[in-house]
Amino acid sequence: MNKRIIHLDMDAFFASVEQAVHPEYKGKPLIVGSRPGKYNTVVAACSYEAKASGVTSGMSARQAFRLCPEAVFVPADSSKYIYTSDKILEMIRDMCLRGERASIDEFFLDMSGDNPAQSLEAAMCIKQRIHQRFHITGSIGIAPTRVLAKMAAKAQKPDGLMILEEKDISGFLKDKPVEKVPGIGPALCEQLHLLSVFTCGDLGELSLDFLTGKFGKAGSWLWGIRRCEEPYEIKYWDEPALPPKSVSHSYTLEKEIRTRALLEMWIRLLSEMVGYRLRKDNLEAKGIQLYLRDNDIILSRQKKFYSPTFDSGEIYKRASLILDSFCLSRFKVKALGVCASYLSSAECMYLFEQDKKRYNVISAIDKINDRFGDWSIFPAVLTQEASHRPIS
Amino acid sequence: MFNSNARWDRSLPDSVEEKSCPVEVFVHFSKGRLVPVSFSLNENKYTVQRINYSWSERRGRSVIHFFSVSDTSDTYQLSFNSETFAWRMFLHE
Repeated sequence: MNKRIIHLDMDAFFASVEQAVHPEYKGKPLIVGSRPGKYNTVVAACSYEAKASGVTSGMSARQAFRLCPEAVFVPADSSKYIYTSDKILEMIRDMCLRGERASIDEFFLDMSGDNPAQSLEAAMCIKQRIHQRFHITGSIGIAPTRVLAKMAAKAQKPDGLMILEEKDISGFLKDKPVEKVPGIGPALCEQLHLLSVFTCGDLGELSLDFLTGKFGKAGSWLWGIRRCEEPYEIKYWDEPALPPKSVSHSYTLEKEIRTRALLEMWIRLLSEMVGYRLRKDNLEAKGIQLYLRDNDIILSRQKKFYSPTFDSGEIYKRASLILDSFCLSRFKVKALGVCASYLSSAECMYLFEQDKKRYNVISAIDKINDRFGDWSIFPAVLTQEASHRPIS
Repeated sequence: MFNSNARWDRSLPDSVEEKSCPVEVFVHFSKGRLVPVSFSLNENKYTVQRINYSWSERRGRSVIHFFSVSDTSDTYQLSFNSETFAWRMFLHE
């Protein structure tokens, strides 16, 4: 059976949704991620008009403003994007197609067994329905593997559609720089450049033995790109998802943190978010990782504890222990994250009465927040004014 | 695989309070859909010429329905709370 994958990649997704919500911004450079006049965050997404001025996602908002001062800045509102993504998924499922939602704006659909005309018809139908319902566009690539379908979709952006048949693959890849292949990051790219491999054509000349000898498993994946072989299987949305290996929340701050109390408040907040998700998934964690980033320096440490927990307060205490082990003099925190790992199913069996009481309190808090909305009830420490205690 | 329930950025402490005010909205219920027709604010009546976009969000047991609507000159954002049946209009900063 011929393998055929459709990759749907929404064009400048957050920015396109904002342009649909605010039709007055259509055709103008639009940057999602910052409020006008406040440029301490990063660009979450930008419209094609802003991209034309050199603005890219992930760039600091201040730099984006320098490159494109006429751009309209709007804060990110995830509810709109998640709703739209959910509706696109619903629309695709209604067409009886199966696949994987790879991210908020990317979908892989398994069209194996269909002939090219059927895949093309499905792709055109998806594009048309999305445009009709949301007034936004997506690009589609159709190819025998996920990576090639993704490259095909990217090659025709925006609002493109490209079918890559097996006979066309060598020609398509021949002059493509290796850094354009999804999955080849800066480190692997640098190693390939050292081997004088600059294009996918160069890569195709190397043998499987050579590549696996140099790069191990990644080598076999690199070898398979041109030969339509890849080790990844689609994780279908209608199949039960595998339990997560970790649960984490991180945040890039609008203003750098210089006080210990404010940093602790943020860690507590992220611990609350991690704990809530663990409890929702009926999981508990033994491992806690804390991550702090200054402009150039990253501090990250993981610690495994004897007893597992899903209690946000306990996660915070454990993260605080890790925080104490960092040397933070003159460290200004620009971003931070809390990660729970070594996960197992929550047992909820308590030997001591006080632990049972604590569990009841946590369950009651979750029930209140589920009923009245997130943060209807939350730890009082999150409302305290930050003291001016030095960070170290 | 992407999990849309994993995002919770609305609840971050530096997020800005939504600035909105109550508004009176005339709606048309059609085929299970809620369609704003016109709204009144400060004794002015605005007729909805076009619904640009609509989306929903669950907040606790309430579902909030949002509408971006335009009259002949401007764009407005309205919300309807399914729990309280209250309409609000968002104000530009």
